[in-house]
Amino acid sequence: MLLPHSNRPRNLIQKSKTARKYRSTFCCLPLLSAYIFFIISSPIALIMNTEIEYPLTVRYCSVCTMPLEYCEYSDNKACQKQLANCKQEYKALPTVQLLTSSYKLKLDPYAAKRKQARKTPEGKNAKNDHNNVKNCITRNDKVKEATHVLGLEAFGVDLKEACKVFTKKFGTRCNVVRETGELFIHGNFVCQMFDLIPEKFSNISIRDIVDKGVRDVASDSDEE
Amino acid sequence: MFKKFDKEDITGSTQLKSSVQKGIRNKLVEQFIDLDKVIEEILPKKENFKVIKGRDHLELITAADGTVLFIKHRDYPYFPTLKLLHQYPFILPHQQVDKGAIKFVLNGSHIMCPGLTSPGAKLDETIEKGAIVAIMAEGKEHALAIGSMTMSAADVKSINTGIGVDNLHYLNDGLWNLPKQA
Repeated sequence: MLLPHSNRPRNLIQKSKTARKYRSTFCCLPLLSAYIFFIISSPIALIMNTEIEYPLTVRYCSVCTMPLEYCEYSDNKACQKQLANCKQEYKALPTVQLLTSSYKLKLDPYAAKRKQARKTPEGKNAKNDHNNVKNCITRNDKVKEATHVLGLEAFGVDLKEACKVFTKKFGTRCNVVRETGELFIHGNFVCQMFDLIPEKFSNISIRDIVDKGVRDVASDSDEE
Repeated sequence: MFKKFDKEDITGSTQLKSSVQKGIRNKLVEQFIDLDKVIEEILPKKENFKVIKGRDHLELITAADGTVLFIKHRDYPYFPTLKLLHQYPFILPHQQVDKGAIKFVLNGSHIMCPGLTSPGAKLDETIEKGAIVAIMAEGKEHALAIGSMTMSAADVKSINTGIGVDNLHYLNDGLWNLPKQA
């Protein structure tokens, strides 16, 4: 039974407004970016273009006799080795790359002592305090995993919005690395990414996401 | 259609009367988009072109130097060879299939409706049944194959099962690898 709008409970009305707001921003963004992407990368014009001189010269592969961009589909292995030359002319389609890395937490011997000092009242045995600090240090020597998501910008995704989506979903911290345009998420979420990214960003399909494995980056991060 | 096609399938070549040649030229100009602007380069009026007959009611129209230009089969209207289409991509309307279908089309299989309606594919909805179309691939610049629509584009979109486009001529098939017939 649908209650009239004015009689609906207040929290439901508010929820629909915010949902509408996010839906509209998310809807426009992928559509606009997809449109721009197609304009920029549109193939040879369907109609005769008076500015282009016909007949067009097409480069065919010397091994498989197909146009260079189809070399990857030929069965000939020698042809696939030539692929490096082909790719310079035909840029590969953009993909979203996922990498995992592991990092060690920085040892902060004083943090544990501070924690301990808060708990125990002043005047307790100094010896006991020292023992507890040692235990705490070894317990902090953990190796944690992180996920890097690269290539989202090519699909027109706003990195800050994506960050918010990931923090909400996983409950862990997510940072944007501005120099490389990648997202750094604490924790290994590669498997979940394959479902989450197409769900949240409609212009990226599951075929565009590639798991690139482990990245060897030894980075130290601050203790949370 | 040209999965297994080589020299042995050719039964003979004939020189045509100029009136017949004129008739064929007019028919081609009528059928293809904007062909009249470039027909002089492809089939010049002064040069006589040959017709090569093949098995199974097949006719290949070749220029004077032996390069095959157009194909005529009993069941289908005239269609160009892929080499010609790469040089003049505007003469046929384009339909785009998605990446996953490329491998199958290159093996000679016909194009199924889901290949034309999935994301990554572009369907030109103005095309009717029986029209010759150029089949493009997602992310590629050049045509992948030439086909004939088995149902109109609107039907492809609504029915979405079964064969949508008959694969007549594709990259690296028998006709693509045929040498010049001097």
